[in-house]
Amino acid sequence: QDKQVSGVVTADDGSVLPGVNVTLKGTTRGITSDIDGKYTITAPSSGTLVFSFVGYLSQSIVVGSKSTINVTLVADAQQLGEVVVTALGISRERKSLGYSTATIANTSITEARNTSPLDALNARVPGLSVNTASGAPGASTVLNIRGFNSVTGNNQPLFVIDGVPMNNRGNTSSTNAQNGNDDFNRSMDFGNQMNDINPNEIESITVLKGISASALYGSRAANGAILITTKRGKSGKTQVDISSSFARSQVLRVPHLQNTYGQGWSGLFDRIENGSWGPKLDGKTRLWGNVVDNSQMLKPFSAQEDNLKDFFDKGYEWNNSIAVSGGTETANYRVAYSNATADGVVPTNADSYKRNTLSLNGGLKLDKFSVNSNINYVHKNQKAVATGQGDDAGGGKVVWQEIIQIPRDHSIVDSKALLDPNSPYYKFMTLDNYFTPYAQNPYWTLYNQGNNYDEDRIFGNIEFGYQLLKNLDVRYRVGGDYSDAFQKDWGNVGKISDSAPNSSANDVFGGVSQLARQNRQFNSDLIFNFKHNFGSRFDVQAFFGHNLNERTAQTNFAKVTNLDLPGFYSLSNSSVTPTTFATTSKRRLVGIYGQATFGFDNWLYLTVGARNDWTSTLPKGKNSYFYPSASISAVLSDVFKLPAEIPFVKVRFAAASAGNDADPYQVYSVYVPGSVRAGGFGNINFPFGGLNAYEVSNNLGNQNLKPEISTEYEGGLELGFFGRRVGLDLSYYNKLTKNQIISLALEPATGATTQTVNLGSVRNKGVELALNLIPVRTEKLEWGVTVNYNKIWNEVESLGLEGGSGNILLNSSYNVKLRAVVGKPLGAIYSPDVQRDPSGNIIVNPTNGLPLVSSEETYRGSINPNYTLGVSTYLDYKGFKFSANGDYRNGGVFYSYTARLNYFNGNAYMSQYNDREPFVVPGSVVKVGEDSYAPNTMPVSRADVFTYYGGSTSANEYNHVLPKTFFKLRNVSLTYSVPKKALAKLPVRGASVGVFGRNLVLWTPKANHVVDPEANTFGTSLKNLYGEFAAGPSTATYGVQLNLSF
Amino acid sequence: CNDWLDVNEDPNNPTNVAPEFVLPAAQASIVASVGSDMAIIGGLWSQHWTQSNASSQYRNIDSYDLNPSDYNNMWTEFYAGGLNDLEDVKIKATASGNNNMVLQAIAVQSFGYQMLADFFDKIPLTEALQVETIKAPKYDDGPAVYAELLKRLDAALALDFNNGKSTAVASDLIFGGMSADNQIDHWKRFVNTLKLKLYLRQTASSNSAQAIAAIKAMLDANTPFLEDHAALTKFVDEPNRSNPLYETNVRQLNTGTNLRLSRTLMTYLQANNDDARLAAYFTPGPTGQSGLEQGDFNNTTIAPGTPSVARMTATDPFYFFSIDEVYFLLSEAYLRIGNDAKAKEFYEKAVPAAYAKFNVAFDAKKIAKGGVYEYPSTGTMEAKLKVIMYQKWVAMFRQGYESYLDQARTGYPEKSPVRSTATSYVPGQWTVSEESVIGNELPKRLPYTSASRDGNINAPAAVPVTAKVWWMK
Repeated sequence: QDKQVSGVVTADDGSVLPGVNVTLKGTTRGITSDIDGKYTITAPSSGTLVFSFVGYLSQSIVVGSKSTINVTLVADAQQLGEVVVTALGISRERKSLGYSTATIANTSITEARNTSPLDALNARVPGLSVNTASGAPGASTVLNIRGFNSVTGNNQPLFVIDGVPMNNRGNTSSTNAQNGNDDFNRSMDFGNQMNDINPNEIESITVLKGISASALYGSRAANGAILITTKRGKSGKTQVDISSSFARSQVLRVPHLQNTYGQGWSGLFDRIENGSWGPKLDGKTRLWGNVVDNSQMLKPFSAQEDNLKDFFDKGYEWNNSIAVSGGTETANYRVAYSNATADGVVPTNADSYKRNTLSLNGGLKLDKFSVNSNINYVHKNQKAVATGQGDDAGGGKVVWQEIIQIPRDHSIVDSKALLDPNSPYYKFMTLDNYFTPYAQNPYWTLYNQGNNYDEDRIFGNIEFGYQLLKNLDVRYRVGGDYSDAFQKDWGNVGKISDSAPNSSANDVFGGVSQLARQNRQFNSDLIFNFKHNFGSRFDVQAFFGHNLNERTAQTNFAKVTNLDLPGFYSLSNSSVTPTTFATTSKRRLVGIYGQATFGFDNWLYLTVGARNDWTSTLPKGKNSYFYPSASISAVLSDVFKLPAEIPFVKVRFAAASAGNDADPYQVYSVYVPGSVRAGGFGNINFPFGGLNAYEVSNNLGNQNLKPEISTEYEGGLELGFFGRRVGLDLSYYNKLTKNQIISLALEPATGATTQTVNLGSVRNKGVELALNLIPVRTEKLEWGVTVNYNKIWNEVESLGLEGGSGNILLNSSYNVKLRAVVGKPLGAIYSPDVQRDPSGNIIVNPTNGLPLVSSEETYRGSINPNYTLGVSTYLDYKGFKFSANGDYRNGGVFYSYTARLNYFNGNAYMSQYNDREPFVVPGSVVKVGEDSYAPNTMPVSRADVFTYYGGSTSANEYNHVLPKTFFKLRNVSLTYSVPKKALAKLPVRGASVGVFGRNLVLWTPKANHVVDPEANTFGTSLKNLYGEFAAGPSTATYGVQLNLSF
Repeated sequence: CNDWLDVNEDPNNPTNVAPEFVLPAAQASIVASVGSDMAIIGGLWSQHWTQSNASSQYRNIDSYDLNPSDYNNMWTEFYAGGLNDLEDVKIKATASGNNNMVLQAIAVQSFGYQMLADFFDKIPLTEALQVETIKAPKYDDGPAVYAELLKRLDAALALDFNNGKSTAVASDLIFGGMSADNQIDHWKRFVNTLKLKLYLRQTASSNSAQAIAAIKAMLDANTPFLEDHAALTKFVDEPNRSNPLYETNVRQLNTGTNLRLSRTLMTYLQANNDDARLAAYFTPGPTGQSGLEQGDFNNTTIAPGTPSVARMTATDPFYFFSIDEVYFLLSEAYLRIGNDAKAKEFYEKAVPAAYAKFNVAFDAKKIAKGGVYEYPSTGTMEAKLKVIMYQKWVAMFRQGYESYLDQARTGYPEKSPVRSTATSYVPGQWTVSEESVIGNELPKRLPYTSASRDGNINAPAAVPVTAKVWWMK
């Protein structure tokens, strides 16, 4: 006998829950709760009602005699039952997923008030590596999921906002400049575009790690995808959220240098040297610097231990945002504005970041029709201090390079007298008279250069939905990402008088460059969604879609050097021929895709999917490629009776492949504008001699180019113990990326140097472990800990370079090479070693005792860590919430030019062996015959101590490869939320205040006391991730925040 | 759908370019490579200049400590920057029948190939520059390279220039702006001069007799040679449009004073009261003209600012052949075929021309009887060769590759048994670098590049820098 049962479903926080599934167990009968949480259903007294809702623990209640059943659902702390956003903006219950995903909620993204949202992902997700290039405001963040897959292609995940792929252009000089040398000379990091969004408007970020998760996005998600879901208005009263924070930043790490030896070279004091190869510091007063107007300065010959730190200021950052949102049952809206202002640790605003964002979000639901839209505008203005070793022929020297070339007994801040012509020391600080001709007064560098990056960007989407049938709806979503960026970089002309003490120093010619960049992305998806229950045990959710994508880019660049009027930074201010280039590129892609998930009895799910793409970048007629995926998820705990301590067990398995197309314009051979290399540093560019000219491009077209194919198998286990206070998520994957689209180096004697070809394969195997613990959970106190462990076995399996060197050179500086080598991890660092006898002893030159350099390179290590460990913890107590997270990365190596320069100029801490007195290289031998060696007795002379550490023909280059191991305390925050009761009489709905800190602690092993191993000055691609070239210091930040809701 | 996807033709770069628009870049590539990397190593190994003791840019070259990767960029610029473009010009000009342009392409390409062959011995030639079909070109043996180049030059000279299509090429950076006939004549002279250089290079080899016979045939036939510099003179003083040696060594390098006066050259010029030429070549330091011993870059007792700095400017011409060099070649050629009068005549034209090249006033007494550079008419052939070679060495400043190669062929200037500071030192004799890593030897070649060996299974095994090139003495 059925009867009517009704009631209200509420959440454990007291709010009503609309949309809760109320089903009669064992039947197909079911209904959802309405906007007020109310439901009515007919059921027999013997029946059991099941209340289920995503993100909450399901409840089963026997009807019995009751006609009113009010239910309070408890939020599922493990969120094992939550709905997650999967590819193409389609929501799925987490338990039905056969692959690993991770979702980071807004609270974790904003708790330490990162201006750059991607930085907040650090140490949160096993398998996701996050690297921030420097401590400068707005610095680039490089994300990589499950290791490097592509040797010369893209390794970054696809970024998606509300279902629409976004641009994530990096704005470092390696992507800006025509000339690759700019990486080493003057490069600037103006960040990457995905960091330019407002963190407060992010509802959540979902990381799709495996191909099976991301394959439906097509080619571009072969490296995983980062899905960003923005906040939307909710039905209910209009709400205003205000959030504000202020923070200071300071230098976290400067090189730890020796403090024993002072200015000089080869052991002798020399008042014009820029290094510390001089005598021992004795504290005695010495004359220093040049004689100017018959006078000279005096100072004690003693260490200025903090001279580097003293150069830097404290930086600050302000983040303010306001959002107004609200809605009814049929319409909702959210409008948000944010402002971020930051100035970094370099004096002046040479490193600064300003960002204003405005977002409009609205939705309308009318019967069967719905429309949702999200439109964002971002304006960004950034200034960045150049890195590299400087460019005297153009923009000039680089601050960091200049300040690390100062003897240990010099105070750097004293050079600031340059800024005050009335100072008695002014005349000693000018370009003409600065103490050394080998370096420039860093304050001159700082105050005579600048740059400016401005970007306007609009991105967003509009989505129309229509319920065609009860089980079938259709959605059409168009989205776009349009940005215009304008970049200007300038450096003053710095002429040195012929008769000046520094007349042997190079003049700086000065330069101005301007770069305008435009990126456009258009994307549309038409998706049919089908959902049906077959009887009570089977259900199907399926979709079929069509995708169009077009990306265009335009770049216009002009540069002049040899400025005529000092201090006037315009392209008109030069008589030399400008360097110019203009490029446009366009690529298009059409895809169709489909996926179906078959559910059985709510515990077993099988998902199959496939996609076919047609791309413009592969040869005509061969530009179509197909890739399938399949996964299984089984919630075993719903089937087998398990001990009460183990309430949840899920296993999953997935297999998928994804294709990846090439960059545009790799199919046909072309001619390129005439530019001829003249020696190591020069060029002859056309027009020349009144003539224009073209050259045969050195990149040979390839009309047989095929897509790169990645195939991945993934297995996983999810466990919940002890009332789900212990959760474990374990994944293992094995991914092979073959037919790599590689820019293969050809023997130049063929007439070409590169060709984009399909060669070689890279395998990534990995284990990811996420352990969630809630050791304490009482009414007042909750303490939680999350531990992430990630290990990747990465190997280049083949490169197809039969007979050749078997490797591909990806980057190099000063003989330290980054290579792809078969049998090694992708990103292997090599450098010359000393010559060694068969027993490993160092062979030295018998005439000077210096080690001989081997012509063979030695493998120094991988740029990948051995493993990474991320730990987060939180403590909730009566409105106080403390949280912290940190990460430890073990293993890996990187190149450090800062280390090189420190060895060169005698500031390196490690250059103090044997008190810098002559020494016999320990354990060294000399070659006395073809295969015979004798112990060496020839010491390295006092004068050659420099050569030993810093000479350019010595084997010391391995000293510039440093271990990448480190621990960083990423975030610490303490927030107090004012209890609702206390606010009851105020117009304020919610209020919280807090303090936070970021990157407060950095630990590195002894072998690296030079730079932050995360430092990277080369941009965001694999070839650029091998180290730093005179990078600025990383920073620590701490501040206060306030959040109010009305 | 397929039309919508048909957007993969590069809008930024043309797919087909007429050869007259490729020729100037091709010529500039050869100029830039010979005029920068080869000029630097040539001047160092010719002991005109040496690495400064205050900087470090060229220490590896001056200590003969070369790595396979050191000349990757030069190798790449030659083959993929210049020789390939000249091949493109050659093919297209042949198709259009402009044999004037074909001649030019072969002339400059052969000039480039010879420079490479002289520094590397074996080089890819017959299988080179065919990237569509040959990805691993074989290296041809040194003698085969020479034979092939001479064959190509002869074939170029034999082209039909009266076919009505061999029009003037205005974009020729060397002899552009002339009438077609005049331009063809100049390039023929260029090719003849190059042939003479190729033959003379072989005089110490097993092919010596044939080479001298060929020289005799050329001279007997009154073959026309260059009568003025064959040079690129269009450089201007601005970035990316300057003389390549200046551009790479001075303008674009953070230290513009790496190349300092070698004591080898200084002692010779000073011993012969040739201070004017020394002043034209080097800017004196604070203590006047001062030379550093060859390769003594680790010297810390000489103040860094003391050694004189090599002079070079943005607008210095690049000489494929300077006229003094042509005269020196002819002087030696006549000497080799036993025409001493002509040898003397050209020697006495060469020396003043060498002064004129650097705008140094020439005092005719220097080559007159009793003069320091007098031609030893009564001496042995060896004595005459020595005088020619010494003068050519001094004249080849900034073209030092020629004097370095001459020394390896003729042994002049002689290798000194002692350091240049020893009392028994004979001024001008070449001393082994202070920091030589190959013991008491002078270097003979460049190592095969890793740019080639990494990608070419047919590249030869590594050879030490002490191994002679096939034609060396």
